[in-house]
Amino acid sequence: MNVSGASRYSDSLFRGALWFLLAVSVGLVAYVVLQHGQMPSVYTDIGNAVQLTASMAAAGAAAWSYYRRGPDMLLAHGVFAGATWTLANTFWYAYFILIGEGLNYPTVADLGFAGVFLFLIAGFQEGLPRNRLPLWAAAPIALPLLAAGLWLVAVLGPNAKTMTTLAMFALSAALLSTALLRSVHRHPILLAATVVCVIAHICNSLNSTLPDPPWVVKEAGALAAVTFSLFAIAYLTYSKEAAP
Amino acid sequence: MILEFYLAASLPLFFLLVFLEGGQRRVLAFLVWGLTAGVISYYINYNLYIAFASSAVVPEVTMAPVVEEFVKALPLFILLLAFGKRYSKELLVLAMASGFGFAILENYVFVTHFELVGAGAVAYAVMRGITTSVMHGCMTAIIGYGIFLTYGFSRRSLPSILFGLYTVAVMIHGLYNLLVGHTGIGRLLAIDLPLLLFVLLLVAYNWDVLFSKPAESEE
Repeated sequence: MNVSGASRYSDSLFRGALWFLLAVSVGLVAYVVLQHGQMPSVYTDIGNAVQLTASMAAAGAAAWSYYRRGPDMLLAHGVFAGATWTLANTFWYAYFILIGEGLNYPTVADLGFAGVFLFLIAGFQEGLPRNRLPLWAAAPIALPLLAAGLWLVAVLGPNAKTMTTLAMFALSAALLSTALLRSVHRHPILLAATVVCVIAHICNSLNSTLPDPPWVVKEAGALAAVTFSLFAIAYLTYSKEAAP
Repeated sequence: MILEFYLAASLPLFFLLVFLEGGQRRVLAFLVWGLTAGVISYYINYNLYIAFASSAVVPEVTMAPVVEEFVKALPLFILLLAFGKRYSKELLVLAMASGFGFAILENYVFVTHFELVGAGAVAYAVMRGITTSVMHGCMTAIIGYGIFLTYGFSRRSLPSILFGLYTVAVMIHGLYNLLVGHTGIGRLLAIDLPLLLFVLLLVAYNWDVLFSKPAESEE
């Protein structure tokens, strides 16, 4: 592929901005740790602004890479995943602002977060070749996650919250299993983004499900910002690696 | 009265269906399904509203989009399972017809509910016609067009993509319902959103015509 000087310059600029975004996101994670989850209200506004910027950047990076590199299913699904998460978080934030603190779980936004997992799974299935690992090789990852989700249902009883959290654990298991069977580890940043994505959404589910959640799960928002900053960088790197 | 209106509106269309063929019949069938989806959703939503009346949820924002988008798009999912991959971008039009059929019935419910008279009633009807109705059509069309875009994908990833598209439609619908119920810039955005989506879908539908190379056009 012939990348012009101007294109290379804009690419470097974009990549630099994404690394800065990742640094800000990691800073948010560190802030939550330092505050032990006792964040001021302004954190919600700043955190959501960074999250939305990161998810839009991920969708943009996937779209830009798709346009530059040509048809690639991983990138096409990456656009949908980033855009869907942006929509879901916009809905959540708009709901938070307009309706107030009494936000129920699950909301429509949680359906959107589930949709992101599905687009990522489909993206790996369509964009990356299946490796030789047998299906059961994913069991050590999938079974503990499913067991944890079922344990929550057993302890807290079956209701909308626990069932949604179980669904999120199942989707996490499916995403990580697909990543394993499609050798996502060959693209380390993409693997890191996938793992952080799972941790962020599990934290979010636990934060909304547990009656007295530990402060660590309040990292969900900051981790989501890290997730999409990583996805954005991963898509740019992937398109460069995969370019003929 | 909703069931009576549904029967009065849809039964004549069934007679018309007998005379139509091919694409025309499919479009009208989807429109009739939209009307049917309106009735089904009305009763499901009504029962959900009663069930969650004491909780703090906002049903029109948190429940209605989930139910309505699923019922409106149901024939698309069934078509896909029944006929596999024999579909074209006509799916966008069929899906939109389902959404518009739904909107016709919902408009009837809202217009009769508020019992407006005079110019206010006309203005309200026109406003619904160019905002909420277009929103319903576009939401289902997004799913239809998305399915068309998956042409050539492996069957394994179709369920993921279908559910993913459904979540997109639900969220835009939820966001619309959330913003339109409030004043200020949010409401303005909500009013503009359906028309913007409509234009985007129109461009996507005519992409080949609008952006084809001259040599291809001559052929």
